[in-house]
Amino acid sequence: MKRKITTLLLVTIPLLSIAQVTIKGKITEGKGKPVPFATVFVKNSIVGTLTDTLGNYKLHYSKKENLVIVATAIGYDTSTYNLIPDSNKNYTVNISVKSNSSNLNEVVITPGSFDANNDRKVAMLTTMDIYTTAGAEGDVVGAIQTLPGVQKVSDQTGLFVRGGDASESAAIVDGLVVQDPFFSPVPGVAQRSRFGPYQFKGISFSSGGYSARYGQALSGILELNTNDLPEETTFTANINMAGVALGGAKLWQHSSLEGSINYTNTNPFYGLMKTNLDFFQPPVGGGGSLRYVWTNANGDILKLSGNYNQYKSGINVINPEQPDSTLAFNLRNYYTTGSAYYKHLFNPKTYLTLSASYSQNGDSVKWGTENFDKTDDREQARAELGSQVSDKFYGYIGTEVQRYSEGQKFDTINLAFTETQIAGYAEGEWKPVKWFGLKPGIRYEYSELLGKSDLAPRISAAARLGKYGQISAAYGMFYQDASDKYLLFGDKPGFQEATHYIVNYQLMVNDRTFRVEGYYKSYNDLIRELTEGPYDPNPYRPFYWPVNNSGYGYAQGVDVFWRDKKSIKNFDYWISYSYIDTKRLYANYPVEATPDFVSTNNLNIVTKYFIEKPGINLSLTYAYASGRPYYNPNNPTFLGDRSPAYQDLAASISYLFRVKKLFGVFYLGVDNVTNNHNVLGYNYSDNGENRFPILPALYRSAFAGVFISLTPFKKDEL
Amino acid sequence: MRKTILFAAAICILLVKTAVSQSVDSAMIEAYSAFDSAKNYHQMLAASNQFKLIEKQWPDNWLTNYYAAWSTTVTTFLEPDKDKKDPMLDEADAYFKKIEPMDTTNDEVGVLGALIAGARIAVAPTSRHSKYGKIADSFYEKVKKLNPNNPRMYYQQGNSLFYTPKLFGGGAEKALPLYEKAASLFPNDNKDIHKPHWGMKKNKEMIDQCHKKLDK
Repeated sequence: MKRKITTLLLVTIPLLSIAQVTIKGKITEGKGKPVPFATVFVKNSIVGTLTDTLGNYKLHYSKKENLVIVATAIGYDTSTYNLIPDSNKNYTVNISVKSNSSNLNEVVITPGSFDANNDRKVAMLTTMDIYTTAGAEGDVVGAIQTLPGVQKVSDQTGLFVRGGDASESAAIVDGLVVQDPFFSPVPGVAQRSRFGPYQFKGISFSSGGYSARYGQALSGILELNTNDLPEETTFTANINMAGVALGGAKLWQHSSLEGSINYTNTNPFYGLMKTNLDFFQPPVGGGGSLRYVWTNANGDILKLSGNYNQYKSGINVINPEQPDSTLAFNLRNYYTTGSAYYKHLFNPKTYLTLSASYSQNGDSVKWGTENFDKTDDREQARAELGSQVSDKFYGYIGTEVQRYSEGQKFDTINLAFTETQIAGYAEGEWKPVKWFGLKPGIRYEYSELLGKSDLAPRISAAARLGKYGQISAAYGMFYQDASDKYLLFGDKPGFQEATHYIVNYQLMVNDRTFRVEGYYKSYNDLIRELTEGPYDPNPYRPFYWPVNNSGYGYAQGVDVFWRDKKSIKNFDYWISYSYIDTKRLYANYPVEATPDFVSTNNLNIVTKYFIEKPGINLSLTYAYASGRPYYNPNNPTFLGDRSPAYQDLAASISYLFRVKKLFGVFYLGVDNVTNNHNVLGYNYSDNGENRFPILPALYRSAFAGVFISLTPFKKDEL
Repeated sequence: MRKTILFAAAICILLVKTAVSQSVDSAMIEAYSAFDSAKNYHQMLAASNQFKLIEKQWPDNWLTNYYAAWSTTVTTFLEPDKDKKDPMLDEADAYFKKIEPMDTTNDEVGVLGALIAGARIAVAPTSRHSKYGKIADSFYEKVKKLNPNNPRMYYQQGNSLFYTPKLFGGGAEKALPLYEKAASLFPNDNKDIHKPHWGMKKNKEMIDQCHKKLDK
C-alpha cells in the first residue's frame, strides 16, 4: 500500500507540474517606464497579482490552456496578451499599457467661465472661497471682482465684464433672470449686489461664450444656484455695525422651512467712518424672507421662496449737471420677489425643470427738490427638458418667456414700456472620446416690443493635453435689447450684437491651477444717440435725441489666473491678471474711444491663511487697476486722459469660538488698510476751467460683527 | 499499474479542477485574511484587487460585490495619489450600486454606503463635508432602523467625529463614547465570511488614540 501511494505521488506530481505554468514579466508604459501597482490577472479566473515598484509581476496558473493575461491600472487603458502555452512551464509576458489621462479627468468644456461649487466637478473655487475673501465684504459680486476679466469700478453700480458696460451682464438665480441684482444705483457710489453669503450651493461666472440657455447679455452671466434642503434645524443671528439679521431653519425628513428677518441701520458704521461724501441719511431698512423646500427619495425637488425688502438713504452727491456743487439725493426703495422652481427626474438621467418668478422694484427718488419715481417689474417662466442620452451625449432643450415693464415719472413727464421676449434653445454636449468634447447650441429669441427676432449660434470645444492640461475654444453670438433708458422714450432700435471668440489653456495639478485665456469680441449694432452739440459726460443727462444701431466696437485681451493651495500648509492664494484693449462708438460718444469704466491692466492678489489652533482665518487682498479714461473738454482727444492707478489693500480676520452649544464667528474687515487716496477720475466745470476729483465714498473703512449659530458649524461655513 | 495511473489521473484532474474552480467562499476567506493582515498599502491594494477578481468571477453575488466595494473604499484612505482616490471610489460606487437593491433589509449596506461617503469627504474635506455628510447621515438613519446594534456604524461615526476639528463640533472627547459603544457590540459579531465583521481591531486602536489625546 505504501509503495502504491509513493507511486501514486510520483506519477501525480509530474502530471500536476506539467499542468502548472508560471508567468512573469514587466508592465510598462508606452515609453518603457515601469508601472507600479498595476493589476495583472488571468482572464476568467481569480488568479491575479500586483506589479511591484519596478513593474514586475509573477503569476502561477494551475492549468495549461490558452490564457488571456490582462493588465490594468488606474490612469491606463486595459491591455491584454494571448498566451498559447507550448511545452514550456515558464513564460515571460511583458505588457505595455497606454496612459489614459482622461480616465482620471474627463474633459470639461468651460471656456470663458469660472465655477465655484461644492460638487465633484472640477472647480477653481468653492462657494466658501467667495465668503472668505477680504475686500469682498460678504458680497458675491465683490468676490467675483477678484477674478480675471472683471473691472472693479468703485463709482458705478454693476458687473463690468471684458469691456462691456454694466447693462451687458445678467444675473441668474436657479435659471431665472434677476431684474434688479443690485441695490438701486446712487450717482457716484457703487452699490452692493443683493446676493449675500450662504444662499447658494453653486456659483458660475461666465466672462464670455456662455451657454445657449441664456441670452440678453452681450458680455457675461453670473449664474447662481440656491441651496437644497438645509443641513439641520438651526437658529442663527448676525449682529454687526450695520444691523441685525435673525434666521431660522426647520428641517423635516423631506422638507424644510426657512425664514429670516433683518433690520439694517448703517448709522453706527457711517458714524465711525470718515466719508468723502456726506451721508446725511445712512441707509436704514429692513425686510424678511421665507423659503420652503421639498424633496423626495426620487430626487425631485421643489423650491418656493419669497422676499421683501425696503430701505431709505440720503447722500449729498456731486451734482452730475454741475460738478462744482452737490445735490441731496434721497432714495426710498421697495423690493418684492417670489419664485418657484421644480425639478422632476423621470429617471436618474432625464429631468424636467419648470420655474417661474415675479419681481417688483420701486424707487422713489428726490433729486434736490425734484421728485423722480421709477417702478419696474418682471414676470418669467422657463421649462427645460434634459437627458444624458448616452455616456457620450448629454443634451437639453428649453423655452422661456420674459415679460418686463418699466415706468418713470419725472416732474410731469410719464414714460413707460413693456417688453415681452420669447426664446427657445437647444444645446448638446458630445464627447466622442473622453479627452475631447464638443458643445454646440442654438438660441432663438423674439422681442415683441421691437418686433424682431434673431438666431444666436454658440459652440465650444475642449481637448485634454496630457494628464493635467486642457485646451478649449468657444465662439458665440449674443443679442440684447437697447438699454431701458432708450426704450422708455419709445425708441425701437434693433438688437445690439456681440460675437465672442475665446481660446483657453488650463493646467490643474492637484491643488494648483494655471489658466490663461485670450479673447476677441466684436460689437455691432450698438445704440448711438444722434446728438447735436458738444459731448455731455453726465450719465443722467435728460435724453431727447433719436437713436439708431450704427454703433460698433471691439474688445480683446488676455486673462491669467493662478491659484496654489498646496505649497504652504493652510495657506491659499490666487493671482488674477487681465489685460484689455477695447474701443467702442456708442451712446453719445462722438468718436470711437475706450470707455470710462475700463482699466487696461487689472491685478488681484487674494491670500488666505488659516491658523488651526486658535481657529483664526486671515485674508489679505490686493487690488490694482491702471488708470481709467475720463473726459477732459480741453483735450482734443476724446476720453484721452487717464486717472491715477487704483490701489486697495483689504484685510479680514475671523475668529471662531465655541461656548457650549453656541458656535460663533467674530469677524473684522478693513478695506483700504493703507488709506490710499484713490482718485477715480475728474469732472470738469461747464467752461472746462475747473476740474473736480471723483472720489470713492470712503477711503479706509472697517466693518465688524459677530455671527452666532445654535448648531455646530460645519467646516465649510467658515 | 494501469489502474494506479488511471487513479492518479483521476485525482490529478480533481485537484486541478478544485484549484481552478475554487469555491467563492474559500477565495473570499483567503482574500479577507490577506486584507486583514495587510501591513502596508501595497499589500492592502493586492488583497483588494483579489476581491475585485473574485467579483469578476461571481458578479451577481452580494458578498463578492460587498467586499470589492468595501476593500476598495478602505484602500483609498491609504492611497498616496490624491488624483486616484475619486476614480477608485467610482469603482466602489459601481459595486455598491449593484448590492443596494439586492438585499434591502441588510444593515451592512447602509454602513458601507456611509463609508463610501466618508471616503469622498476625506478627498476634499472642506468642500465636500456638507454634501457627503448628509448622504452618510441618511445611510445611518436606515441602519438604525434595521439594526441599532451594528458596531460598525458607531465605529464609523466615531471616526468622522475624531477627524473633525474640535472647533467644528468634533474631537476625541466626542468620538470616544461612540468607539466605546462599538466596542461593546463587536463581540456579538458572527465571524462568518457571509457576515461582515471587520472593524474590532481598528476600533480598539482608536480608543487607545482617544485616551492618549485626552490624557495630554
